[in-house]
Amino acid sequence: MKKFIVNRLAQMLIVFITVSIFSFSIIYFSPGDPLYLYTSPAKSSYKMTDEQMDAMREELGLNGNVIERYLNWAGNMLKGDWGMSVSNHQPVKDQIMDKLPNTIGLMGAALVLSVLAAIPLGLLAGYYKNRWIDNIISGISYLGISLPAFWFGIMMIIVFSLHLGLFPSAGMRTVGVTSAADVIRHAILPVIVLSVNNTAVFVRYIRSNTIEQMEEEYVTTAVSKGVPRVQVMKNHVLKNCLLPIITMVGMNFGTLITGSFIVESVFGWPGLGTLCMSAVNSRDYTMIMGITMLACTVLLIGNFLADVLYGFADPRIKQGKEKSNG
Amino acid sequence: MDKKAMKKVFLSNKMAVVCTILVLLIVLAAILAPLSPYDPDASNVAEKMQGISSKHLLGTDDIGRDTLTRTIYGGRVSLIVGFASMCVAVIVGTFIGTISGYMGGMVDVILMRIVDIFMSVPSLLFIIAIYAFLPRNMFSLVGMLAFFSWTKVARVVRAQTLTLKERDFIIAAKSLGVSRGTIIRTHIIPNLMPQIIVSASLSIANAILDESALSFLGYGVQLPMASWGSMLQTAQKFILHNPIMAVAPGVMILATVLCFNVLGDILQQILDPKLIK
Amino acid sequence: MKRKFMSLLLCAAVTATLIAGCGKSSNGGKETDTKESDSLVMPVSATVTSLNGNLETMAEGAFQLAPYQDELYYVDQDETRWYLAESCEISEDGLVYTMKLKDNLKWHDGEAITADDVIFTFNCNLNTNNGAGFSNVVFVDEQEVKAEKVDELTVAFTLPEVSASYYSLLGNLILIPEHAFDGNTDIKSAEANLTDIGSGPYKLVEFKDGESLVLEKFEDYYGSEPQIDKIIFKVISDPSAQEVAFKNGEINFLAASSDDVVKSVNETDGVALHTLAEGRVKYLAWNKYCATWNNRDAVKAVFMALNQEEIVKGAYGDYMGKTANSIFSNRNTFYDESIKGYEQNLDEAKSLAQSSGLAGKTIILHYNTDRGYMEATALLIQEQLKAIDVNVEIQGIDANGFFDVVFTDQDDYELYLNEYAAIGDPDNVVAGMLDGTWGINVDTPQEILDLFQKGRQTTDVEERAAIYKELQQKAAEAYLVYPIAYPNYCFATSDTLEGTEDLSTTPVFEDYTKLSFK
Repeated sequence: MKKFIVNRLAQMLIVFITVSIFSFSIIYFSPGDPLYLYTSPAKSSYKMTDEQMDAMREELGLNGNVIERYLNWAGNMLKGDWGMSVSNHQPVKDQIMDKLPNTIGLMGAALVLSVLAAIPLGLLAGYYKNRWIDNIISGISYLGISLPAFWFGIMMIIVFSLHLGLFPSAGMRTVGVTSAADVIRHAILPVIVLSVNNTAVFVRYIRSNTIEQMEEEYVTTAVSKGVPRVQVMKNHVLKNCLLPIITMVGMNFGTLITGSFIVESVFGWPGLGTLCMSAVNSRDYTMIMGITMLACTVLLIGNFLADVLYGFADPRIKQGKEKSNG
Repeated sequence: MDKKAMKKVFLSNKMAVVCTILVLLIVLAAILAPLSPYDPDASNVAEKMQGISSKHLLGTDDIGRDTLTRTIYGGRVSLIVGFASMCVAVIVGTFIGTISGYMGGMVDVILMRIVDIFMSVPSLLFIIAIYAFLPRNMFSLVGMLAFFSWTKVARVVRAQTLTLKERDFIIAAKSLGVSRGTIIRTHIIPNLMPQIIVSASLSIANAILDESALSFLGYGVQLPMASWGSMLQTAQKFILHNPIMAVAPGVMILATVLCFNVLGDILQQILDPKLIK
Repeated sequence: MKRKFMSLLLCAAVTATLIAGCGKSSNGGKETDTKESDSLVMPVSATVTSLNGNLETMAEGAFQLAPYQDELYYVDQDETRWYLAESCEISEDGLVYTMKLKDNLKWHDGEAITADDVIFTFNCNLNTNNGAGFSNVVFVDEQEVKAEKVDELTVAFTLPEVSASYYSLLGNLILIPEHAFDGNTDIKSAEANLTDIGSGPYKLVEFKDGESLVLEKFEDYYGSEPQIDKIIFKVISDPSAQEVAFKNGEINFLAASSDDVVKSVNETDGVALHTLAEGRVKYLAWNKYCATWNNRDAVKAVFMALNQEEIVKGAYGDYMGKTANSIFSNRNTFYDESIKGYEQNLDEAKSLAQSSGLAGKTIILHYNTDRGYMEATALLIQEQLKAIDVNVEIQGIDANGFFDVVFTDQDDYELYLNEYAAIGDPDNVVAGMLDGTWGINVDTPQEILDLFQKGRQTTDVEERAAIYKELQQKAAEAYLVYPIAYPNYCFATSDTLEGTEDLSTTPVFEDYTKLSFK
């Protein structure tokens, strides 16, 4: 187990470094002088002298060759200095950290919801394989993986917000109201929309797992011996079906992150997604780098935790599982 | 199972037939798009924001363009983008996957770590970040989508190659001194076809979905060219006054992606009944 | 392990449903009661980037800061309305402006507003590192204005030369408190920019970046007492979502984004619709750094190929705007109705496009995705230019990034759609857009620059009118920019909101103390 974790951590480190190089090079190889973002006429009506430009270059770490600049940037990131936003001259880190809880909350709620919804649905569908109840659940889960999330979001706003008036259409709170209940009321629609895709994936996974388990020898034997099917289901099948969900959650973390960005922009949820969109639009590259690095870190940690949890939950799984899964 | 039997199973599956017909219809409509009496980009201010009528079956948009015509033309763009990025992804994925699986050793380790890296970045975010610095045209769109989707194909192909490698006919070919390249070309890849077709089907579905999400966020094809996603983006502003503008492309995306997903799954079950996951 | 996991999940589920349930039941009544009666909630597409009006210069920001920071005074077409300043006297020679503050002024933190703050604000504008200074109140024709404290409430400004627009320009100055910045004029990244440094009738309660800006009545305000308790700006970036929110009562102000919105709002009960000429000019400009325009005939070809009527009808519809004829807006002091706009002449346009080598080219057009009508305008222009065999590639950029891309000396794009405010004195904004202060890529002939200069130095109103008439005429002849439309600002409020009519300036509302709920 220890070896597995160490191994996994080493791998994670390599991936992390590669990703950081990747995200750095997006900016490095982008056309145009990054300094221009500070000196453009829209930011400053004053024409800088060459000395001032050089001083600024120095201050922003834009001097030196690629490697120096990368190391400089990476060092600063690790030290917690993520630079200043180009658009409002405030520290990037503060702005990101300010928005992070909102995104994490949205993602977390969606994850919990999809796991909670998927378990009974998946088990039911698998248990009643090819019967009408399975057909309905499977059909809906197909819809779930094929729905464009943003479109679904808009439709939900029209139905639940405009026509039924049940939920607010945008934002995270009613201004001036600070209760958790208010946040939750705002979160219901985005959480549902965000969880649909994952729920569908989980349902399909649990269903096929259940079917597989039901055909295992121990189940058929037990059933033939007269143990009620429900009993068998509860005692054996359930456990073997639920464990892999942990891995599924880990593997779907990426979808969840990008999904949350889309959902945020549909519902005007003040999280990292909205922040990122406006950063991309204003070429605020310090902000873009900060957000991509953070998103990757969250994703890596999510994957790692899923793997480790799985390892704990099922000690049979060690290095071997990785090989066969490829 | 031989090909004839597979065909029979496929045709006896009602869902499969329905989906195939739907996909064919959508493709046919896209091909025959120029038959529409309207120019998809020609504005007609006098007839803007109309509802459903016999003249404009799905109404018109904010500057008087025929929604049905634009939906059909939009299908062209969405399908081309989906198909092209699927092709690139499948070719690259098969190439890397077979090499990785067949060669094994360090090559395998390195290639699979690269795949891991790709799988552990939020692709849409990276596409958007890179997009800020790329010319916005269909090539970069297809390129970006393929760049982040070949890894799925590569994984499946590699796993299958690993099992194929141990099969008798490959071992026999090897012992006869047939070169690696030839073995891969003539023995491995043909036997991978079922998996590749399944991956291709799922990959088109994903590409169409991703393209629409990108377009919706404003990083898709250029104006006035329409894709389903970009039509949705425009429609969002008028959704309260002319909802049909948003419903039409949305339903098309849903239907197309659904068909490819269902087809992919059914094919997978037929080609490889054990592999239900 | 499994059991623990399951019970954890169960707990989470139960709490979630419980809270959700409570949320629904506890909200309904309470919220709508309080909101309607005492707060005005207005949607915005983004929050301000700074609470310092000297740094926040775009329209969306000015809209949010209007209730929070007061100007010195406002010069309208026929009167001057006094805010922080009590008077401003101009010396005989037109060079010395003596501005006196009212004597009961307070910052939101309770400190008195004095002449020192005026001097400090002035020096901040002088500090070019701030990138601020758009107001240009510190420079007249690139020479410094001298500001001197006369007494605790009086400051004398000495101009290097006569400038007729300086009077209204000075009035627009937004003061910031010296003590909040510790007297340091390097204010660009100062933390104080996100704290309450206002002087207006509403003070800061809470600023959540990307979410909301909440302001409440400032009890020590020097003017008449504000009547509404709270002014709230809430971020709802999508126009449809804004409309839904308005219909649901989540917000009680809605700036109409299209003709259809106006029509649908018109049919709604309990809603009042207000229309103002915005005093803005929406125009098409060409980038002089781009080689495509080296032959001026190419510009003429584009201008002649456009059908302005159709663009305005298509993009603005019946309510939201009218065709423009001049670089001055229809609410500008020196707007001249008799100036002739550009007329479509396709044959001429075609032959010019051929002869200038424009025909067959693909050109790039940028527009601001957060400004109304721009996308439709761009599409219609694209469509119309096809007639002269010019292929337009449209690229939208959102408000945050637009000026960084468009106002550059790069040659990588040909056309852009933009807009500027042109209320009041033409020298304040119109000149800046065209003389290289902002729109550095507009190719303004020396003759027009001279006319701007002359207008600036002439104090006699009649004479100025003549100069500006000539200027508008010359600009049209020079194919400077293509003024497309004068947009209307239509906004809907619940019909219980009173006092909206007295205020005819945009961004609304000039004086928030006039607003009240019935």
